[in-house]
Amino acid sequence: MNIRSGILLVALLVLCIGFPPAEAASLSGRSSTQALWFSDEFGEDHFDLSQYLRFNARKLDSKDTLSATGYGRAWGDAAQGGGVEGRLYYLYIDKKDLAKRTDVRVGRQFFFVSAGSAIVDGARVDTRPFGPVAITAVGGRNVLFNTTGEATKRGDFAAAVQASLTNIPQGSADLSYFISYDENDLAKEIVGLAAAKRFSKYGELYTQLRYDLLSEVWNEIQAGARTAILPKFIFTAEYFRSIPVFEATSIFSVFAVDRFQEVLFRAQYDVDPKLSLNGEYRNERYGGGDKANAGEVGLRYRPRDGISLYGAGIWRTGTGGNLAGFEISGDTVFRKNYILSAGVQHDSFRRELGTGYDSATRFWVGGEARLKKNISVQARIEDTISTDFNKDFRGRLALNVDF
Amino acid sequence: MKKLPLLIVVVALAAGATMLFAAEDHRPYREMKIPECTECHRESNVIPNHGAAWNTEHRLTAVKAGANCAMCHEQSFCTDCHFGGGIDANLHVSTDRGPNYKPKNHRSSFIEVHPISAFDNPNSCARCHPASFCSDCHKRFRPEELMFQSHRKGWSDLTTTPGGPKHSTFPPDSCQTCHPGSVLPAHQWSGAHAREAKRNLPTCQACHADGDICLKCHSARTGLRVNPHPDNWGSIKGKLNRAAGQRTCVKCH
Repeated sequence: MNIRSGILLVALLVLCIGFPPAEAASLSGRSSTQALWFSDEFGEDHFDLSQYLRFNARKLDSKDTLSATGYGRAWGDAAQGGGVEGRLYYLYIDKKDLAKRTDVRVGRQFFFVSAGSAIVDGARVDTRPFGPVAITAVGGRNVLFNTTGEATKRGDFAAAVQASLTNIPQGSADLSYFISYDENDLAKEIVGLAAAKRFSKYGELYTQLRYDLLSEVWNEIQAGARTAILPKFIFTAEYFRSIPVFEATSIFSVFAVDRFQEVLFRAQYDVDPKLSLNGEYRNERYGGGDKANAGEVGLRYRPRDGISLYGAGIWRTGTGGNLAGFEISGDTVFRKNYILSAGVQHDSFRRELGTGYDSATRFWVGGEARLKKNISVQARIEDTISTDFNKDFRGRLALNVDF
Repeated sequence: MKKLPLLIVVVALAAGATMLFAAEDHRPYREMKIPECTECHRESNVIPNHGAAWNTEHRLTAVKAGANCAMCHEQSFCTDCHFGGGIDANLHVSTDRGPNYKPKNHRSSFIEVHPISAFDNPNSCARCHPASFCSDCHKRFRPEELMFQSHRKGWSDLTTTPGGPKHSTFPPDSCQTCHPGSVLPAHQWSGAHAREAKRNLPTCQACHADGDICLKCHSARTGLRVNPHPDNWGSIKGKLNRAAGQRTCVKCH
């Protein structure tokens, strides 16, 4: 945890002092102590020791309108050294009904609206000022993570506002605006629209649109229809299009780009409560006549409670290379407190500039034992064998304590 | 009269708002199994949204006002995949280099397969990885070893004679032996780079974060002065210039 995160934590604690205490506050959450070992792509061994903590404190005031929530981790690499790293994902206070029909959240938090998403150190206000209209306003310091820590610079901000209609029968409509600053310079400005409408048993229509105001392009267009009119059968048809949008402060924002387009058909069929099938076909186009066809077919079988088997095959042909693969995995629960899980993934692939097919296979096995009602131990190991790696052995051991 | 269409839209929205739709409180059901949820949802004509494609389907469900995800899921459920983490470690999920989750499409040896996956939606990688994540690894490779047409020596795979050895098998000082007096196109920049860049520019950004290598040819002041701008440049250049505080434009102009 860095200095900023520490300051945030202290500020939140000070805020709590201002509220009348509840008679019996409740605290719940999870502590997870994990050990992870692996070799990176350059053959260097790593042994990470991580401590995760998630908590939720409620009933902090007499009317239970105040709560505090947090989640973060600290970890270090015992094999490579380098000290202890920290990452605070969120730490915020919720206050319900601070004003009439208005909730407030203060602190580090993840937000997502139809125009974009971010983690910010800031505030969020949810209000229903009149009738069916709900408004969300959120913003603050834009928290950017890199591989090991935070990369936020002075003057990095992100904010959004979303207006929603909450009473559309079997439907929703949200209009939002997202803005971000890079060192005090405007970096992104996007308008988003998301809407969905269900037509009883016949199915539903949905769409999400994102328009980049600075580049004047449709950043994303997604529109689709789903139906479950046939018993046990769900069918989806969808169109998706996107153009990468760079921050205005990046030199890449001035370069021409091609759009990516995808037409997708997806189906799921539940033969009976024990057996279900799913499949997907995608036609992808990258611009300049480049394209690919891809798909996946899967089968899930649950012979009885506590046992689940899944098998799937994937394929892709076209620009960039060809790929065919499968995966098989299974879970079983025995004596209620023990779970055993295992799987294998295999891919055979030929990259665009390659001359022949290579292959890669990953095996994994894991288990969980609930030692007490609130204490569990998890272990998972995996190994990958591929053209470049005779072995890529890695594992994770976790001790979870719920409180 | 110009306001008539707006008025019609407002009236239509108000009419549509006559039925109050209240989302049901799902907290009592959070311990139920997915098939049990499905059974109830179908009886209510609600298409189940926790099926096999949940990974790619949940976004629209999550962004709408009143989304009830939080009734069953902590916010860590979102951040573990979107920003790394793993406090609710899933036995099916692998980790990347460090204690972060890998998404579903990072299957088998993703290091080797990812050049193919990179052709998919160019926004998808950037949702989780900053450009530096890619360059941490790519900068350790020689450019001509990467699977980019534009970065490979155009002549190196050509054979000297049909069925003969490739050009790459000869040392550079032997070129003049077979090509006396020629201007050899050694390390010639391939014309394929423009096509590759337009198709997946974030990949270029991964290694050339500041674009310096691009500006050797695309600058308005130096080099070949090749114009890189999109078709709508005339209408957006002012906006971008003002937004970035002229940080970007002065790099070339």
